Amino acid sequence: MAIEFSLSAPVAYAIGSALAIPGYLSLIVRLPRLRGRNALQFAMAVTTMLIVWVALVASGSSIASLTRADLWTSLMIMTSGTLAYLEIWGLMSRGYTLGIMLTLYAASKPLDERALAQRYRGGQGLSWVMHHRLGGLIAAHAVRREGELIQLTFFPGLFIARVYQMLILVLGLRRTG
Amino acid sequence: MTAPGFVEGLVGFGCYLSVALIALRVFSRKPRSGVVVLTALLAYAGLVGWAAVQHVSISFWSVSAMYWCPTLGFLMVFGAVYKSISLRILLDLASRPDRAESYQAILKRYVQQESYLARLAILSAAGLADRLPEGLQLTPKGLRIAAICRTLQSAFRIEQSG
Repeated sequence: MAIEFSLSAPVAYAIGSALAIPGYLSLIVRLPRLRGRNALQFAMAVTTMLIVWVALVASGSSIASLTRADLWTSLMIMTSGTLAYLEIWGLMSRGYTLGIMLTLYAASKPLDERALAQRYRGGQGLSWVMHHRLGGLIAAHAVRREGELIQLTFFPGLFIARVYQMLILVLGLRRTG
Repeated sequence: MTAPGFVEGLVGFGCYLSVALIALRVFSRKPRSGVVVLTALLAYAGLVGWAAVQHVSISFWSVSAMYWCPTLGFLMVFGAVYKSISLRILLDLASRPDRAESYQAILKRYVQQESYLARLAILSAAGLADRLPEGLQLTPKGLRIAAICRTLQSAFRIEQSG
């Protein structure tokens, strides 16, 4: 067997602290000041993961034996854990299709397209999606709103749009969004 | 001596990326998210299998970390390109005269029509919802998944998704 499964302490701590992200999240979401702020809640959980890892490495004797390979492996494991949980967190808090599904679930009866659109997000309707996403784009300076008109900025708006267009081609996707 | 396995993990990611780009074109009728995720798992199994028969000892954790870190990054970018509403709004605006359009026009054409109807079609195609004469209704599979998601949302105090 040419695969070595043995674990150094820093790498074991990295696996443990990354696996515990849902645990940190379940505590953080209970803080009243962070209620409904899903992105900030996740960022705090990731910060907690890093603090826990540093504390564990620093508290034991493992800091003296911390090699560069262990350090990079640990950081990549924690980044991988963050990305994996972020996918799930993003889907749970921002998933458009999931939002439609949960609207149908809450209705407990068949809904036509119009009624479903009206009941989306507990009655906020589909225009909430536009309002929310546009707010993010304005905050990122990708677009600016001039009255009723939405204007794409040259940078970063047009730049992001062109990169996005190139990625669609590279990935061979015909339909997106 | 145990080699860190970083190079092997990076090569594994490179192979995954190449295979995923081919698979996305070959299996263009299959669900794209499923294609990239399944390819990632198969490429990882191949990488670990390959590492197991090498003469030099390779660290499982290092090779796995070096493979999964960029792979999950790629999956994240893929998800954004494939399903992001914000990016799609930017692309739509880039194709308009003066790169501008009215709020209502974007809302009606894209959010309330194209994107919305595409998602309803996804729910039907995935067997999560049935189209009945009186409207759309979740199938037993859709109900199960919705119940799990709702429970997870409640546990993590996520009020709504969307």
